Amino acid sequence: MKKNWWKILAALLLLYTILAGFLIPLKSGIEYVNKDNVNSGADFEVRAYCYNTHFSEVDEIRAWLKIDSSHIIKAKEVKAVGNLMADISFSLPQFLPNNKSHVATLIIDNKKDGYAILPSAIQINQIAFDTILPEENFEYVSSLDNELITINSLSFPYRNILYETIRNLFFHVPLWFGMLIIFLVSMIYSILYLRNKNEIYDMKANAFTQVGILFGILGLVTGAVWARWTWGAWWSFDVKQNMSAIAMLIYIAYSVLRASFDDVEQRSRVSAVYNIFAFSTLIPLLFVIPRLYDSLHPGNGGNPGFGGEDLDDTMRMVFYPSIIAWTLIGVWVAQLTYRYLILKNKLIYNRNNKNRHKN
Amino acid sequence: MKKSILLVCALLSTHLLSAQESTQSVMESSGKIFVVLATVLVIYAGFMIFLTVIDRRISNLERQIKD
Amino acid sequence: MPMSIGNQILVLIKKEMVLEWRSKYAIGGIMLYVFSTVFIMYNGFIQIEPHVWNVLFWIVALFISVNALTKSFVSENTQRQLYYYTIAHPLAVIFSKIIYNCILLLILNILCFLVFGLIMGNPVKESGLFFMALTLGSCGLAITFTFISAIANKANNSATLIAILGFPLIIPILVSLIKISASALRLMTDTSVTTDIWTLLIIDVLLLAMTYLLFPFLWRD
Repeated sequence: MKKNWWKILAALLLLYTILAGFLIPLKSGIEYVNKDNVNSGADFEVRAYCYNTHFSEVDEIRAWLKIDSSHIIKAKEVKAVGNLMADISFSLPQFLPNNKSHVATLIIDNKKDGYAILPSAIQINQIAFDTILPEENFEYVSSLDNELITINSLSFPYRNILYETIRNLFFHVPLWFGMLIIFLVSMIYSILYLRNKNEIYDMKANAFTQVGILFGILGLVTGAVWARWTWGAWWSFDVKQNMSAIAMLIYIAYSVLRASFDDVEQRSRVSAVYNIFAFSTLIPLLFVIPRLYDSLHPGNGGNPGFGGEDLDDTMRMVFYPSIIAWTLIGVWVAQLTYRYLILKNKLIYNRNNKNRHKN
Repeated sequence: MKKSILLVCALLSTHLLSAQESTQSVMESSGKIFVVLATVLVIYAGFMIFLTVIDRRISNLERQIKD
Repeated sequence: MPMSIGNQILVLIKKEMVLEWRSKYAIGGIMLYVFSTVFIMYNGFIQIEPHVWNVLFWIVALFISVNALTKSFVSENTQRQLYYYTIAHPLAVIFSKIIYNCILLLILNILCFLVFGLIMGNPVKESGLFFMALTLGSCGLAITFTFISAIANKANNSATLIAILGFPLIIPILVSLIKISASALRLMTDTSVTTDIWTLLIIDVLLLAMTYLLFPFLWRD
């Protein structure tokens, strides 16, 4: 039991990942609004379509249009239409700040759901007026810093397009981290093999590579599923997708290489050499090349990374344990594989010895 | 035992395929939660297949030891 | 009298050149391959856009290197390798081959470029950058395929193995090469060409370092 504590840890962390990953709700968000263009100096009403809100359960809904950091317009009236829709009316000043058109951000909040933001929701056009109203003394709200209601219960951030699939961060992304760690371990065993010439290290390297390939293929397939319903296609020839597929080819080539030897010692030695060589080419493949190209993945080509606002504290609380969980599960499966390989090797060894005695 | 595992795998994979082939509306409903479900099922199926392969190899080994 | 590794490398490079000179048909065969490929492509495309030219050039260069370099270890029989093993340092063996293959591949790629220019026109606007890419690319291809050839030589069906092992490994180099030469052809206005060149250089140095560390393990039987 003492020796297997990490397997229990793996099982518990995985359970935690799955439960927390599925049960923690999403924050509320605004999906879209039914107007994208309004003129200055007018009153207008816009309907906001929201996600995960409970408008009919609260007394008061508030809304703002943020023109820039110091010019915010408070809504005159907000009417709930069911739980997920709200009709918001604003009256706009005749002259916008700096006397030019702006793209405004819509902010809604209430006591139950907290606040939700839709960036670049509505374009407000500055139009020329024949007659200027005598008293243009429009009241802006200058800051919302202490105004917005935040809810303190656990929740994941809402992102348009992603919706609930932001939870895939705990199932797709850890596969990649796990794969890299597992290939690293495999390479370390290859180095150990070259230093000590102990057959067991070679079997361990082989087992870890097999599990690494499993993780890589699962990463590709889950990535394709996620991409299909967010980016719109199974395979978008995104640079990270391509490079990961190539990484898989490199390691499948490792298996092919192993299969093409008769001599055991030579197979172990040459495949250890190739494994180290392959891992060292994996680094430019996965970390350098993707930076040279635009990518749909976060963190490349000017895209914001999963950091800052996307990876908030609640996400971190599940994301980091999920990496440990999946990696430990991988190590566990790899251990089963190499224990099998070692047993098989012993069996062959014993049989050869017996035959020798017979002769 | 092995057959039942295979059967479960097959059932799951067909379930998965039908979930993917069905219309946009199912996957996009309920905030695309079914995409997360599909992802988890893909991982589940992958691990199950891998474990079945190891299981079969170990059974082979046991048979060899008996002989 | 034991020679220093530097002298051993020089002697072995000289030996490679003599062998190459004795079997001229090998290089002649590669040039024939380039001519026929380019001719077929010209007949197929007739009007070749610069970005197509760019990709085609590097694909032909890739296959030139496969054809020219696979023989570097595979063609040598076991007795001759045993002979080298007794007289030369393993690093001398691999580095003589790498240096020789770099030079050979550079010459072949320049010839390939001339054939391309002759038949399909020359869209290269910034020759300096293009030849920089050509040099670095030849080195990268030469290092990778020489090492892969050394690995595959130990296995049974080497010719297939070289393609399986080598192609995935070569893709990072090829991808950055195509990007650099795209800027040399002014197909894209890119301010980060120097970063690309550094990336390629770092990949080359990394491959060379791994070869330096790993070849001695591969060599001793």
